[in-house]
Amino acid sequence: MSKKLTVAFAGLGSRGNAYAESCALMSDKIEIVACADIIPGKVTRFAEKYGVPAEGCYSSAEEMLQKDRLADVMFICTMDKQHYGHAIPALEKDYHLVLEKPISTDLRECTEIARVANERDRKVIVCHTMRYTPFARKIKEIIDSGVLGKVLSIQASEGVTFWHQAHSFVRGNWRNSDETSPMILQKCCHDMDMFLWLTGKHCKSVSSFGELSHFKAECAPEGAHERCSEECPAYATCPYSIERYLHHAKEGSFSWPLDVVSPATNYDDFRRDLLAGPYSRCVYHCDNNVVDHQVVNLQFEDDLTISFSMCAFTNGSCGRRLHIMGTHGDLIACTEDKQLKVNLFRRGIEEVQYVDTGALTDAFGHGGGDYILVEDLVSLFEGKCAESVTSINDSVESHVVSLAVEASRVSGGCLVKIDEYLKEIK
Amino acid sequence: MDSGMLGKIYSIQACEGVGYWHMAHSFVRGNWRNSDETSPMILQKCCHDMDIFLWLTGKHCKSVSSFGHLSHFKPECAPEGAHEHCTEECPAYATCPYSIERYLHHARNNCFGWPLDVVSPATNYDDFRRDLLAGPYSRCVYHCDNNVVDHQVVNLQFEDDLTLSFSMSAFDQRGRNTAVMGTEGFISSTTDESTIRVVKYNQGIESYEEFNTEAETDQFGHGGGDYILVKELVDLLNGEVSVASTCIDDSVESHIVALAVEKSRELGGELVHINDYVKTLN
Repeated sequence: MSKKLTVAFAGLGSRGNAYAESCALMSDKIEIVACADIIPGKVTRFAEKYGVPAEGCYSSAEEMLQKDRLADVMFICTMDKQHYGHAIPALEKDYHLVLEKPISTDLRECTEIARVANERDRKVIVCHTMRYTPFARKIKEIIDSGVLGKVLSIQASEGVTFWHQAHSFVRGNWRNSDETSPMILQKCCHDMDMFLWLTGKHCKSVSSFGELSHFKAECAPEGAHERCSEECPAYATCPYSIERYLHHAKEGSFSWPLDVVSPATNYDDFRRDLLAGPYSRCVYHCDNNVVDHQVVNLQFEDDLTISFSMCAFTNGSCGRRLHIMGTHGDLIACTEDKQLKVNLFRRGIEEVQYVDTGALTDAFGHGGGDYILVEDLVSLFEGKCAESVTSINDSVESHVVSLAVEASRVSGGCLVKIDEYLKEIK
Repeated sequence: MDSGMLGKIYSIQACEGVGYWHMAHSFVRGNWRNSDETSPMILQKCCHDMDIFLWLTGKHCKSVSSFGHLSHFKPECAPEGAHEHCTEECPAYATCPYSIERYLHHARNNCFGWPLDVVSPATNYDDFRRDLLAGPYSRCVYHCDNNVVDHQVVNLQFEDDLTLSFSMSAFDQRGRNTAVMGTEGFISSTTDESTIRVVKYNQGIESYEEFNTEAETDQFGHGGGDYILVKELVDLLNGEVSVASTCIDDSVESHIVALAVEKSRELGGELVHINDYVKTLN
């Protein structure tokens, strides 16, 4: 393919910008020709940063989708419940898609998007960015090599981090599953997808306990205000105050998540926007409902059992941890370490190996995944590979598992068999 | 935990990494290989864990669910040509992690501590080897009369919204690791390192602290527990303390939880409510 791949962006938030950055780094192969967002300031900033001409700027995805196909590929980075309403018309206009997760919060919509894409021979790449990271790819390579023997046991965790929970899941966009998604789907479809991809096995049944326990009015410290400010009596001891935002702003660090709060890059304007917006609400007085901790058991084929914990009450060094246990060796991985530890049981005397996963994991968001996803997109369209590693046909299973886990949690931990769950929702 | 520095504790994730050779020794070849003779794995090995969860948190368990299996130590998993008894002549000997090589390696290096002292009282290589080959510890791990599980996962719902996620696995070299997650801080610990790491969230910028318990735990088995239990026994009988840390009235609960977990596992992961389970036993 000698001409550039043309791309359009629907939704210009953190995700849209992350992929656009990657596209910009491959400007010899990719051209951003159109963009849309309901917030005019976002469109202006995006267009300026990535050189999108005025005629390619739209005030909503819907407006952009009224035109005939503007580009080869549309990146759909709008909100969870909007994905279906944007993906179907986009497919009908013959766009190929890069679609942010979750595909949809409704399984019927997930399978419908896949059906339309298959019918129209359109590619839909789902943004399970972990599959693109050198870190995860190395883990898969080790498992596939057989050196661990048969993998029978996995223990994993997603440490959301206390301030990330407060930002995104108490004050921010994904705080309420009526508006967006349950936590397990929003945050942990990545994890479910990882388990399916790394093991190459299907999930048979699940059970889960979990609650929203802390970020509720009844847990507010004595005298807490409805909005967070230095005047709140709990300010000096509350981990969830706006102090962390202000601390970073004072130090001149305005990157995520501060850039979600405000586009300002000076303290006074940032503080003004923070205090005026949703991110300075008291975490105990929001309209949130997604869980702050959850535990999951997964029974996969071939006796493989997986134990998973998602918890808000962790810090940044926790990240995602994965412990893969096989009959001949085990592998310990932590996304924050960027190094894998492999114990081979050998002839009864262990051999420990450390595997580095490269500088690339450092350079870009999501351990390099944000960049490599776009790189692989180009390869796909250049005909260098036949199918995407995260095509919708593969990705839907992670959504089925996530929603089955949620069904178990909501029922108080009852066993949910995947086959029966699928029958029920059809 | 009791200090309150972690805030309210809502989540614990823990593991018991039994280790491949300990599994083979005790739970495939040795005394606790068959629950008809002794106990199911979760009770035998992990009533410790259930008890620790109850004691550390001071909360009761309300319901449990579990998946687990004996998957590997079975004839159908034996390597091609494996013998019934393990010797250097077995075609798989050079690559099998579960052979008697580990025993012989330690014997050659004059290390006759546990578990070699279970195999034989001998403290020289030749006598040790003779006893090993004559006894149950040189049976092929794929050809034993074992039935206890080699891996199991457990969810526990405790009071006050506390959830626990637990993994027991033969194929896990980590020993016991515990992560305790609270609204104001987080602790992680590993029995191997004897170090407890605390992260406090403060006002949004974390601080870190480490507590090292090595000096106290090094000397005796089970991290010093074997010694301190006896020391406290003396104190109890001298009237210096009025109640044992592990009197039977407290300990029974861990057994109820462990057996309820086993029931769930046998039922393929069905939810078991502790109250209902206890009623069925009465």
